[in-house]
Amino acid sequence: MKFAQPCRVCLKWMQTLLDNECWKEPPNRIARHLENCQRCRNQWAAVQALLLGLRYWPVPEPVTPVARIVERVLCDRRERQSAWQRSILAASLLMAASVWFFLMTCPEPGPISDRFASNPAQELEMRTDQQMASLGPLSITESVAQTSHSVASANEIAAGQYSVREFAYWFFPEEYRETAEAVLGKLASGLAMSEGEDGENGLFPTFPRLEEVWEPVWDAGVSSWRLFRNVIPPLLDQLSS
Amino acid sequence: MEMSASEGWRSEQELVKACLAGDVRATHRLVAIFHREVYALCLRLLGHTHDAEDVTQEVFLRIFRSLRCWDKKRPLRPWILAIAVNRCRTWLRKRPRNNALPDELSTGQSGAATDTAWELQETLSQALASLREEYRTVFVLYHDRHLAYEEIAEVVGRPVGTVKTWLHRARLEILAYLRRRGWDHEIRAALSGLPEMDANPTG
Repeated sequence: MKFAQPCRVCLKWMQTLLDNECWKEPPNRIARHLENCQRCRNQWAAVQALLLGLRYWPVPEPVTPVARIVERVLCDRRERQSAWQRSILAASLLMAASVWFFLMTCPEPGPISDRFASNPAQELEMRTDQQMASLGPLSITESVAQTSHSVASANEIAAGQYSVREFAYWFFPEEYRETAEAVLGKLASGLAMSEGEDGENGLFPTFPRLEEVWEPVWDAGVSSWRLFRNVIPPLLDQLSS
Repeated sequence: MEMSASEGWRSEQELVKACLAGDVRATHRLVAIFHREVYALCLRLLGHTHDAEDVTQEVFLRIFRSLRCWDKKRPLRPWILAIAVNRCRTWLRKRPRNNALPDELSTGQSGAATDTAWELQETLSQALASLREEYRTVFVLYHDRHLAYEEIAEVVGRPVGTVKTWLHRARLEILAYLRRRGWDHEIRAALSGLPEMDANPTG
């Protein structure tokens, strides 16, 4: 059911009244119009009803006491804080577990960096290092037995029949023979030269027996490759000095 | 809103700061200041006392959860009322349609002067419930909570011009509702049964 809208002048006046929620008798000009216009008279009556209704429009008091709301707010705050702490703890544990898992599964040594990969000699050394490191800390017998190019039998090695030079030949694959020679060359400096059949001018380095330099450091758990490259030369230096 | 010095917090900023620091007294004070106002707004917008009680509690939970987000340069009251309006809007969307009849006057007769006034309140509440959500919100914020146009615009997040338009339409719809219910004819007789209206009511 549609009602006809009041005239423009009356409408504006009534809106102003409602804006201020102010009850006023209509001014003369509006009063005269209201006497002659049924639509505006009806609207004016409705506006009066609305103003009256707004005046007597009570809001009941809230039933919930303030203290109860405060209690709920504080409880919510505590729950959120403990949830936050639980999240932090869970995240820390997860992080620790991730680090532990990474460390346990991390290959050793790490990948070759580009800086070293560009150098063929360094690359060869790194690759050999990686290959030899994979053997782990093995005894003489195990090390020799695990190198596929070995020509020595485990029994012979165990019997201590061979010198460092012979072991180096067994230990290195054929393509790394030059590396072995280079290492032996470094080992030879400072050692006493003795007469022999193979050396130039009848002299060759007297390398100590393998087991003499191996056994003292075996317990330290050094891999066979690292032992040969890093541990034996200082020991030989000591022997020669 | 200025706090009295005896309460320990001179301004809204100090009160909020104390609340954020976990001061229970400050929390109690903040709830006490806005409890009635939030409840009244929820009751007008929802039309149900029980719903209004529930939503009022939710509003305060929201307020304290997001108190850090309050812009200190702006007044606290419109920000709180905006949260209340948003919660009521969400509540109305979740509420089943058959539960939408207002019951706010079933317990609210205490403030009425006469039966006629009570009937008028009931009609007004029904008229309010028949309005669109936005119209109802601006009507309540203006005529019940007595917010200025600028504050209402801040609460509903719309320009002042839009607020004025919505309020104008809300009034016209309510007036049309009152006329449909025959109040344009009954008001003369009703006025005679009510206390005298002042020329300038306090509102």
